[in-house]
Amino acid sequence: MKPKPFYTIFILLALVVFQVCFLARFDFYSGTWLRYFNGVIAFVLILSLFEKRREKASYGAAALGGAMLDFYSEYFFGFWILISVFCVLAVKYVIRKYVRVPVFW
Amino acid sequence: MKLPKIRNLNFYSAVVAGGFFVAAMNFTAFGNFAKNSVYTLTQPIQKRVWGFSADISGGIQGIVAVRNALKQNRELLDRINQLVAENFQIEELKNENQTLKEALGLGMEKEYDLRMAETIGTDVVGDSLTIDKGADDMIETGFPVVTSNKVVIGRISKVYDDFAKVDLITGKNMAFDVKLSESGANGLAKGLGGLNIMVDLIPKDVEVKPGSPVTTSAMGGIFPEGYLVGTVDSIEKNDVETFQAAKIKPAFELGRIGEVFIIIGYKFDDKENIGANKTAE
Repeated sequence: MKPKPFYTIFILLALVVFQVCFLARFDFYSGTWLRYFNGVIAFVLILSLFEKRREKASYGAAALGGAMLDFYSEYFFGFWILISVFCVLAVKYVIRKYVRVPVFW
Repeated sequence: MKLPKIRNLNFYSAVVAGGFFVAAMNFTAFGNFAKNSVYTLTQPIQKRVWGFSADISGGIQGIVAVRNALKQNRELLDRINQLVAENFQIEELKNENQTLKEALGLGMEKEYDLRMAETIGTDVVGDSLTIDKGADDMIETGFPVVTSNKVVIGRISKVYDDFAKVDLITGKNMAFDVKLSESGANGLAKGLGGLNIMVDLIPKDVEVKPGSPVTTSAMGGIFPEGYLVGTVDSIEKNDVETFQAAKIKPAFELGRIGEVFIIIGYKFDDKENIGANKTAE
């Protein structure tokens, strides 16, 4: 699966706005682990899980999504970039080391 | 020493460019400019989504709330009986209070220079808000942010040209003096993150009841006196500690914050109070 850049950017932007403007309204899950749910990280993880092993698009999406999150975050700029790229690295590492997959992947 | 072979020049160029961009965002004025520009671009969408989510969350939260409604209903019936009795007393006090307010001119807008702002979003992990007023509207770091019904929300932590970030009182870096209204005892409110807040350093001999209101104290110089922080939720007390602590239920609900007021100064007497906040930082 090779993501189209335009759609990826659009989805990431939508997820960031969803995170900061929409989810914040739902305080019935505050106090639970659900309030730490991050749509952008989840999207990037799914992307890295389902893309072919040699493809690197998920790194780009992670950097871009992280940067978008950083614009809306009070942490230092780069914090979310590091987190999301690290997540992709971790997924790729686990897949490369411990997962045996069909040849087409 | 043998240098590693550069196989993909584009990749390394992108990493170096990214590094420069991140450094510029963190250490130069370009960071503020870029964030301000992004907020300006996305503001119309953010405002729409923020408004739209209010309707949706209202509906969903209503469904969730039904589960607790029966239990609450029974408790409320008991409370009604109690409140009816108290109501007569409150009416008398209200009239007296109104007369005093008129006499002394203690309305919020009379006492402070206020700027109204609209909330357009929150921080990625909560405990921070973005509002649509910034340095162009004379907003500065450290200014207290309150609601129209005298509930304290937080204070300005970062200012851009057209926007500002508000650190909520529940934020981990927030600590300010409060007063327990019923007993008059002072304590130190500390944000715990995750929309939780507690009051520490309450003298052990003070009786703290769940539900009693907690208001800001002028002692710390961070917030003006008498603004509602929340109500006591639970009390933590043990024989070893010299002080007791109480968990507070904040008076604001993050999902319902719309318009807020920023106190940019006092209209009369000591304007230094607000300035003192900035010095304290």
